[in-house]
Amino acid sequence: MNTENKPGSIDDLAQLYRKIILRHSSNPVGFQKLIKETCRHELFNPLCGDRIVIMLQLEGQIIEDAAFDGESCAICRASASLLCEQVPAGGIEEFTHTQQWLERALTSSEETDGPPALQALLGVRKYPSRIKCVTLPWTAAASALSQ
Amino acid sequence: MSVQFNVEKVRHDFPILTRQVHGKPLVYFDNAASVQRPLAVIEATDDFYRMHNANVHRGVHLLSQEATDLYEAARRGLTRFINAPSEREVIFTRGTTESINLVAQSFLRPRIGPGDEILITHMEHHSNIVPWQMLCEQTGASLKVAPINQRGELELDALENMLSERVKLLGIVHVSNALGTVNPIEKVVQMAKRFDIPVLVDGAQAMPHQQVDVQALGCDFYALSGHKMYGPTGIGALWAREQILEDMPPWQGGGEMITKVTFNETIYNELPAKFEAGTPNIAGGVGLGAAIEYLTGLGMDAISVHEATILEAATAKLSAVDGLRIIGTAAHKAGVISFTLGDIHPHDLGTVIDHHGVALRTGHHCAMPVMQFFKVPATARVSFGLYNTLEEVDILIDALEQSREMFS
Ligand SMILES: Cc1ncc(COP(=O)(O)O)c(C=O)c1O
Repeated sequence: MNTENKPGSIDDLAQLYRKIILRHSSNPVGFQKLIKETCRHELFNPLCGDRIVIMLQLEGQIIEDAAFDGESCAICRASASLLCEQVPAGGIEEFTHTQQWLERALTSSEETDGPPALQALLGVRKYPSRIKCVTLPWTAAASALSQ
Repeated sequence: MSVQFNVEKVRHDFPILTRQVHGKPLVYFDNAASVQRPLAVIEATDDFYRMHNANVHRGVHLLSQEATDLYEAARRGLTRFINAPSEREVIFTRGTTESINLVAQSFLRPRIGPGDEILITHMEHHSNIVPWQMLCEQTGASLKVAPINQRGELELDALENMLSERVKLLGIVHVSNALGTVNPIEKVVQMAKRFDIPVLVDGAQAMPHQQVDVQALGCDFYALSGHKMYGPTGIGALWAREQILEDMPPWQGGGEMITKVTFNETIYNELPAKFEAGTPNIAGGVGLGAAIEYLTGLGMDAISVHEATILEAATAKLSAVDGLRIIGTAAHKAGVISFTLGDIHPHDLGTVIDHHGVALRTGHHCAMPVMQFFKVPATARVSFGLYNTLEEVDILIDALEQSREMFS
């Protein structure tokens, strides 16, 4: 058991949800948005049956646009929404860098840098059973890119 | 009610119930996933390892004899508990899942081929779906699914119409873990018997809630799990009629299931050993025996009455929560309430509720076709055990109200 990461309190949780939900759950970026999609990938979270589809518009090495679809919890939705907000106009390499950073940062409190916009997601550290909810869209995007 | 059921007294039998979770007293409402164990079970397994541990059926030494006696006593206890005619008909397995796979591979596989059908219902747990799908792939048979209605009840007329000579087995859950529906097994068995269709009942969720009598049910196979009925994990059983078991080839080969082995020929052991290859979960069996004694002491009828009170009160109080939709409103239910709350995703709800000390399950409950039927990706589920109280229901309702505010 990781003793450094104490289990989050209900106030932590309320704060996490307030941060994420206010911006992304009611008005997610890229949800069911029509883009000139060049690749997509669908992933399920077998734990809860959530489904997420990430669609990307790739031009050369640049991710021009991103969209998502599926049925998922607020945390997963917010994570997908942030992905669609942050990733476009960046390169594949940059995406991979961010994705790997996120995976590390969610499981280790030592990782501090990283895109400011994604810091809110790190609140999930205290809820290990929910980490997959954050990573699912990013893993789906990585799989879409590797096709 | 002949036995007086005192829930406060009973709670003292479960050490874990004194635990705090996130600084709150534990309210354990995830009993359909796995129940908590009473001290009697914990002590029985502990005592086994401290005092009697040895392999079964193998040694002439005293410990081996004691281990064998304890393990076989558990089998006798289970035989009586489900009113099986003979101990030879009770096979220890890892649980319901393994029991169903055993029937699929050992009983049905040699008897089925292209054009044949396996009939199940729309409310089955994945463990009563996937083994049959695998068998269909192996043999060219096809899987048919009897429909349910909007209350989550089996459509009996439709099921009856699907019965024919082509159906080689009917698999049906006794109590649905996703909806709480109690199926009318006797009636379904009567219908199936007209075509001589063997009936397998998934009893995982029925065992903890009601007295099960396999002879009265009339089915041919009954699968159960120890950890759902206050026993250890990793132990369960398959009950089947002796004649059927005699006609079945063994499933797994190894030690214990033989009487003689040469490189030319092997003679299989008698029932039930024929189906118990390898060293079994001995301590698990002993613990299951203790669980059965414990349940018998309390009285299954008294437990059913107590749980029905909780179910009824919880159903009424949950229904009154704004935006709450109960999934599964069958006339005859046991132990389980699945629900959604507004458009809060169950996964988010579960995490928040956990911080109120309330353990419930969120997700598809290994019954994805049920979720598809009700057009929800997942539900939250509370499921009751013999130690739950009306006060705990109030704590749940309070936690739900607070969660709703947090998400609004
Ligand atoms: C109705 C039902 N059938 C089968 C199973 C599978 O039981 P086990 O995992 O113990 O094999 C379960 C447990 O979740 C269940 O609820």
